[in-house]
Amino acid sequence: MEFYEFRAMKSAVVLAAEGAPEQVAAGFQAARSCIAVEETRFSRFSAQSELVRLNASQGEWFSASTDLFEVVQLALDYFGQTGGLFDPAILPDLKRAGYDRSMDELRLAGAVPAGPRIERPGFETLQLDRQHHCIWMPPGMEIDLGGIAKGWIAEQAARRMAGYTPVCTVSAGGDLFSIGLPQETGAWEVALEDPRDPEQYLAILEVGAGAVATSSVIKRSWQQGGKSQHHLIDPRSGEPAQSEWLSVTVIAPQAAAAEVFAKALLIAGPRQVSQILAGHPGLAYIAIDRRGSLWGSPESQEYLHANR
Amino acid sequence: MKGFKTSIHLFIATSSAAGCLAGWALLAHSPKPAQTVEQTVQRPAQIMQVTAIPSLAPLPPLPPMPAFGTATNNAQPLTFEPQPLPQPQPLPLPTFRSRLRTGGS
Repeated sequence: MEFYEFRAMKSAVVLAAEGAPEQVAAGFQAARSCIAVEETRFSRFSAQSELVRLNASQGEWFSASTDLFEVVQLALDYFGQTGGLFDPAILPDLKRAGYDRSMDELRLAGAVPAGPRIERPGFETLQLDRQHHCIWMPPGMEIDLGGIAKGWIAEQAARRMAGYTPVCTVSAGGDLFSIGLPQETGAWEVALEDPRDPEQYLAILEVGAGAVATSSVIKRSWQQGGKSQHHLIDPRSGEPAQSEWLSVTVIAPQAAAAEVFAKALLIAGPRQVSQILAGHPGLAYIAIDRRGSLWGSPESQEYLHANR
Repeated sequence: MKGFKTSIHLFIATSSAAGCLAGWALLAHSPKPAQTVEQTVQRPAQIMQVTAIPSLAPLPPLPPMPAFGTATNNAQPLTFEPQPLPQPQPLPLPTFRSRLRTGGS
């Protein structure tokens, strides 16, 4: 197994692949190029990004690239499937909580105090013209595709790499998409970080082809007026979610699904798990609470292995 | 043996005929449905008067249903309910041979 690591999307990216060295190298290059292109498209902190231009087009039809249109369409579908708990239109609330610049700048300069909450249009009012790949957002709507886009990019990069090597994976800040199975172990081994101390791990996940994604209230957190804030906004309150869990990891066939449901479960907490996952039998989840205890559905034990 | 069979046949034939006659007699002496209808129609008119029904207060509105998932939600068993998993001992990441990890970003 060959590994290649670099930083992109404000995260550590790890590529791994098996095969002939020249094929693996070509696959790594293809995946890295794909990530670079898509990162530029979906960043909300780059003036050149297509997402920033979309957010500036409120009230007008916006002609979108195939990739942006696909992710917005996915986001709209998942908004419905999660009862609105996954909601890209929380961006005004996220900015109000202080996340109005990159995390590096935010930690350096601190967050501005929160202003009053402004009424915003619901994400369901966004319109899609599927024939012409055009998107219409009402005035006042701004969207953040950060999480779903990161998972989607990991999957796209892995599929590019698979054109060179049939056994490969892309991990973008802990959002993984894998194709094929490693010969040596027969499964992809992924360390499940302890959210209380990310330099420690609590268990090993052994997963097959598909996606793994984790949402955490710990990693992207900051102080605002003496109050601890994080980036997972509960759309029902417009505030950072008061979660009973510190992190939720979801194993799913698609990267976007894993990312979306990890976020929705973390926001909703243990009492709404069955409601959210009903109709999605292909998903498994593992949650970690504040004591470091693991919780999950019976199926999730299939993936969980003791430390080694 | 032949006598025994004959007596069995005779017993079955006799009891069938007796049962049939008894049922016929019972039905012949029971009140006819038409008689019941006539009795109802012949009741005095004042019994048919309708008393005023008190007006009912409107019911409170139903709480909104959550819109999770698909229409088949309610049919799903509670297999997703959180259950405690084996409790782990934290270990430092460098001791794990794979470089793949997940923990959010």
